[in-house]
Amino acid sequence: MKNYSELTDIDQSLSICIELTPVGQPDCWIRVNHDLIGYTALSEDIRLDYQVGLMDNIVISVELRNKHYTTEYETAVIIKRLSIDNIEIIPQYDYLADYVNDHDNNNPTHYLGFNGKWTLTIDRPFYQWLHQVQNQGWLIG
Amino acid sequence: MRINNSGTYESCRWAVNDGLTRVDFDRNIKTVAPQDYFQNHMAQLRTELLAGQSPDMCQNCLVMEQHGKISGRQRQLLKAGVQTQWFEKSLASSPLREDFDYSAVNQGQTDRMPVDWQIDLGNYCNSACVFCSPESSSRIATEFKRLGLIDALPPASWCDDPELVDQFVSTLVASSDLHYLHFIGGETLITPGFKTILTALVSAGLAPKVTVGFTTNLTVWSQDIVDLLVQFKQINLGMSVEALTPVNDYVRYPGKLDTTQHLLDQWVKLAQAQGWLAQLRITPTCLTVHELFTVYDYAWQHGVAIESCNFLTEPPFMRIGVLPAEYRTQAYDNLSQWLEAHPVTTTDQIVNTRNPNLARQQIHQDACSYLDFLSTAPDESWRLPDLVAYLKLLESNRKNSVLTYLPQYEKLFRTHGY
Repeated sequence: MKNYSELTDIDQSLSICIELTPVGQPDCWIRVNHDLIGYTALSEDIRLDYQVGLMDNIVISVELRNKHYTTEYETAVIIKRLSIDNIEIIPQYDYLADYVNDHDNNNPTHYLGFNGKWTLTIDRPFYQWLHQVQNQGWLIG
Repeated sequence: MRINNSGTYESCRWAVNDGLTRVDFDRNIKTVAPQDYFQNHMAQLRTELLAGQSPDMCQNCLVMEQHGKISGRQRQLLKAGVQTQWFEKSLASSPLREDFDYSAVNQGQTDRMPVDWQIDLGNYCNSACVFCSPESSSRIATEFKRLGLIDALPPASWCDDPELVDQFVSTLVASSDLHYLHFIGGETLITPGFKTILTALVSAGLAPKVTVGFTTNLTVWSQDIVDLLVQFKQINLGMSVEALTPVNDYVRYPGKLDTTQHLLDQWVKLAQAQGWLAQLRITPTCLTVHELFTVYDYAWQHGVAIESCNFLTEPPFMRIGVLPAEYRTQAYDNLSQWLEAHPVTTTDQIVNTRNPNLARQQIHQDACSYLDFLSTAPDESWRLPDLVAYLKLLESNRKNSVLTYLPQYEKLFRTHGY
């Protein structure tokens, strides 16, 4: 980009990449902005790719379902890596996610061992959100 | 935006500057309202930037970035949400995107008001630092006149005129998004205009929404000013020091290291108690760069950041590059050894140098930029005779000697006319 008028020509999308590692065979549902982008009984590492608009708010959720605690003690899904526009968000910022589960264990984590939903909410354009979480100071406007 | 000592507006506080106060009545508070200058007169500059040009006034920042030093350009972009490593997409996502679009289709004009000011209060100062100029120190101005270096003293500051101060404060009050005011002296604490403007801002009810930045030379304490400052939303406190060794007394003449150290501790203690952001402000020269690590060390011990606006260019004979290779190597080794003894865990570039949680990383980053500069700055040792002649002239008035403070430079200075 050589001048401001070329700003309209840049890629206006953000690529989201989620890499998951199963422990056992977890029943796992993955959503981005209400779109179900993956649901499966995971048996091996998977990578999911998705695209959203540059200015979109983003809600990413990973839900573990149907775990039977008595017979599948170790079943879990690990969010090995989550990146947006090739910027690593998880595990670095896992404390920003909400983890609501049937054991009421809300500690920041990317290891999901309970039935429940882990949700990362980006409630403004991604780069404005990143500015805030990286503690980059005040924003004009 | 900046208003300089003469009341003339300048677009950028980091712009290339020859050290002289510009006096331009086509863009002066006496003739043009601040918002008119910001919205209309700066349109040409906005147009150049939107066209992707790099104006001459931006060259200081580009040099800083070459040496890994965080520039004013990077810091100002950050306030608009633009990070240079993700320039295009962060620009497209900026909260100011609509304002940029507006300027792009309106020949660079804007309907916004300034949110961030540098306010030059004049040159009223009780110090006469050897690298300073009459524009920034009344004491050195008097000395220069006595020594025949200038014919006349700089004109009075715009903020000595109560009407202009009232006009300026009215503009600030009308600026709905006003956020940051950075005051420059002289020595701010003894400059009447500083107290006048702070008092006016408090009276206007602006203090709870405005952050004030200022720098003190660590020679005085003013409880009156402190009592005003505590009413503001936040304070960015700058404290000028070059070395925590006796050479600081020579360079920041007529400082006394005991007083400097005492006031430094007192300000840091106050800043910590009030939750203010404290920074040490350094102006490294060829006379102090070899003891610069002592300032980094203090900052490291106290969790205080370091800031130097740019690599010194004026006066040219005090640039770090004036040191011959042998002396530069000594300075490099001193700083390098200090850095090795004070490692940090991350080397990610810190653009927001005012993030107190990253003070040590920021100190490390700043020290690394000087390490790089020491090893790569152009050789200007041919300026040594100018340096020696200048110091001898000052010393003829001050009755001191640089060799009392820098005995290790005796051979160097003797061979160049000392």
